[in-house]
Amino acid sequence: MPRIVLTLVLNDPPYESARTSTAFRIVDAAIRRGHDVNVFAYEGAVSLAFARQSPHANAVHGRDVDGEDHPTTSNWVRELFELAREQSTKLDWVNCGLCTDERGTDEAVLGVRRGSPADLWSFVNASTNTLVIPTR
Amino acid sequence: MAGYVFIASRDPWEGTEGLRVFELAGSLAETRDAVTVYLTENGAFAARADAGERVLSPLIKAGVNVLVDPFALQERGITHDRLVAGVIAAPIEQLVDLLAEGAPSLWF
Repeated sequence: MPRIVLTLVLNDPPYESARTSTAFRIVDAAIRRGHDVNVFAYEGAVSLAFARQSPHANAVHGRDVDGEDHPTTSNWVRELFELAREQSTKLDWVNCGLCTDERGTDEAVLGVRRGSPADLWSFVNASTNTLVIPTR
Repeated sequence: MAGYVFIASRDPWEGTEGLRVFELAGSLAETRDAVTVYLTENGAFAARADAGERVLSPLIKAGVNVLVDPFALQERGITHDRLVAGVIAAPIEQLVDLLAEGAPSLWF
């Protein structure tokens, strides 16, 4: 039986929209189902995997960095790659190169690669299905 | 074949665009193929009993399979016993299964 490959196209930047966490939930569930997943991050979504994101303290709540335990999207991306390894599936994450250059977010977490819409074309042609999650 | 999948993430009361997509889903179900509407994020507000019937009951009557994300329900304090009749709470894995079947999908 051929492997199932799902491609997701993400557009939203981190910390802006519930669409980001829903997208991560879909990727997580697909990997746990044993499917291969491609992610094409476009526009602001290229910053999801920016390696220099760092958690912060919350003075209002009186918590230090460890107490606040603030999640970062780059850590979520790292964890998705770890999950894919554990599940013996493939996660292929491509950041749009021009979008990355515009935003100065070229330092991505391990596993994320730079590409172009041509990679999206390749993803779509090789996928069981493609889901585009648009911005508003 | 899983038919079409519409993923509704917007509060249906915030504009008419989402309502038009619900109409498209109903029309597809009546004339073309199986249709599933998956409510998530603020789209889950459509699932509230005594509020969402105007939007969802015509779809359900047309044969659309209407699912709602339990995560989105919980975030919004909507309990499972207060859903529009015919709406089924379905974890996001069920959406993934539909996508894995190759169902053409539209997120709105």
